Amino acid sequence: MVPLTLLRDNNRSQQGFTLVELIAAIAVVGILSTIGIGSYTRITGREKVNAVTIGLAGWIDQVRKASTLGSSCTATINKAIAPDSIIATAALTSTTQTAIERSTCVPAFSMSELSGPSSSRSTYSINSNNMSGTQTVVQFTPRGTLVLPSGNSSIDITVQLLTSGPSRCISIKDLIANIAISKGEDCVDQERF
Amino acid sequence: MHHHSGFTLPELLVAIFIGSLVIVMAAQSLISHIRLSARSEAMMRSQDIMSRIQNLVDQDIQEARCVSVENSGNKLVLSITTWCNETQTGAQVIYQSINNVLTRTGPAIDPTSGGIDLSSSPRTSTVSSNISEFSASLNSAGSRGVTYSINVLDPSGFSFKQSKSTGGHLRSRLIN
Repeated sequence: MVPLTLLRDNNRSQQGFTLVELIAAIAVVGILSTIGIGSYTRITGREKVNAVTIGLAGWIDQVRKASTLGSSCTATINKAIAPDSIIATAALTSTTQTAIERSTCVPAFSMSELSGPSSSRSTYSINSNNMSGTQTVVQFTPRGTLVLPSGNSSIDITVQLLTSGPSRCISIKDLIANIAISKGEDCVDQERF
Repeated sequence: MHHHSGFTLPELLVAIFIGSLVIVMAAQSLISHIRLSARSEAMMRSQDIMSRIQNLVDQDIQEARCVSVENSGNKLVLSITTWCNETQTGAQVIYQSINNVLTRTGPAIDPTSGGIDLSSSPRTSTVSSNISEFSASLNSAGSRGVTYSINVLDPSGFSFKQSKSTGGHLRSRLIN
């Protein structure tokens, strides 16, 4: 026969979590994962915008360098960017005044140049203070200087992740076409590129 | 008596001292590494800005018929249409730095040809901000050149100075 006291002890050691404890634990895990998922979404959104913005800024600088080879190049940046679409194209401003025999400036910049399959890419909207219809126009002279829209000292291009995602700004400033990328969404608050 | 084993206070102090010594040494090398990389990054940016400015200024100098320096070197005046011995003033391109901003005043650069568009009205445009110094001086008479130095003030706090005797020469010899 098992002593009565041992049975009672045994019973006590089989106690588990109470319902309240379980609910509290689940609630804590729930709150923490909500915060985690939220910040993860924000970070991936920001990184997606960064990738497009930095890529576009580099591409614009390539267009400027291509212009210095002797013939003016004009970059046209589309406003609505789908996962598979072309972001920007560059063409000779005038095909009659070419110092060097060539037909193009630099290859187009498209979303397929960003890493990952197209299913993982997002849609973006690109606006600026120098729009012609639904496109941003950036023109460089053969001396690599920027053709500024009248009344502005810079061309500010804002890249936004749709819908209502984060945005970053590329500012092409002054005659020598200094390219700066904003730290946040404000075009004035800039980092050097 | 039960013996409580553990670290004594002197042992703990010695351990903390050694630990903090290691941390200080690691932090010093880390900070100097960060400073160095920030400096080299700033230098690359400044050199890029300088070469762009030099490209711009040199080509204007090449197109000029006469060059003069005013404001003790701060103002570079390029006469595009008149020779040095002519009395009237023609089209001019003026580079000067005011309050850390280098400006170019004169006829616009033609967007397609890249030359100076003499038909356009003179305008002042910013060449670059953060230029803490721009000073030009004429090379000795007859050498057809200008020497200028640019000091770029990087936003990171570093500043870099570069002097350059222009590769671009005037269309004619300087006449004193």
